Amino acid sequence: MVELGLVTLSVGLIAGWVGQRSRFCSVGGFRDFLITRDTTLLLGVVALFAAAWLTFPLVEIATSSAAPTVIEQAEGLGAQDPLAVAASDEALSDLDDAGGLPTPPLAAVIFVGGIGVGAVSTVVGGCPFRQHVLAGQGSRQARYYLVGFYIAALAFGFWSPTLLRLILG
Amino acid sequence: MGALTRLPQAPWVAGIVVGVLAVLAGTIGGANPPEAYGFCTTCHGRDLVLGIVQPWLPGTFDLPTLWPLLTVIGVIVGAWLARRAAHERPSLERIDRRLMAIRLIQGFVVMSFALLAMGCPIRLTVSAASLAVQGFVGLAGVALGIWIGVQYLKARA
Repeated sequence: MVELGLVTLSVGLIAGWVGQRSRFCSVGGFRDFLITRDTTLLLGVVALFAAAWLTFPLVEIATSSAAPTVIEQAEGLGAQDPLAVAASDEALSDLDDAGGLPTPPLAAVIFVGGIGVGAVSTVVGGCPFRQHVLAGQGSRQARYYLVGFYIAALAFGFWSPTLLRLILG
Repeated sequence: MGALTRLPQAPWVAGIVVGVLAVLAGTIGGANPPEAYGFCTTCHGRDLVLGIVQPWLPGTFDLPTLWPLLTVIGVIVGAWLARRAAHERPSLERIDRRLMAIRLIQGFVVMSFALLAMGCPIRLTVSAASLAVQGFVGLAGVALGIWIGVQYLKARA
């Protein structure tokens, strides 16, 4: 538990630091490209994808022979995605059976969610990560954004089980 | 400090740093399951908020099972430290009541949609990089959304 807190805090600190220095934004990349054909921020998103894509198999190779770490044993067992718990068991067992393919209703929910995130973030002027960075460096607009952001996180705990059962059956 | 403030000024450097850390945190760092959960501003933010209020609320909702995920705290503090180290002035823009309300609502809407998309665009990208189909579906939605947002900005301009 302490380890997980330290790991995520450290990762956040480093990400916040480089995010502040670089103005990295996962929405701004495609937005700038569409408006001015500027690829500076877009390269950041491409690099994010490429780095993660290369790191996954490397970690796989490095850990395949080693025993599971203490953190994995302590924290990993039995934990589930809260959203996944909220969805019906059938929809999720379908997800497993199809080799990671989401069922059409679940894929539709994810797609619509993505549209909302992209459209509103473009109007706000940055992805959620960028808003955290701006709030950290003193932007009052970003701080009000975060207040709404976390009220929604709290509300999510109450409405998500009902809504997802309605959509996913 | 000089190199640390100058070096990551290119977004692609930041992308590599966040991408590698996200995978490491989500695998050997213990932020799993679910898959590709190492770095996410929306999921980790939600888990943190629900985890904090948990003692004062009846158990009517699905509680986070990973605790504590301090990613969002780290991002805010990290950005604050980086600004100070680089001797930049804080962003002190003017804000009126109307803009406060607009930003608050926009934050609410983005978080709500992001939770439906199963993550912020960064997690969706990392998820797609793990070759999970849902990551690509989410990213396709985000791309379409950005296009819609750009049309709106152009129409308003």
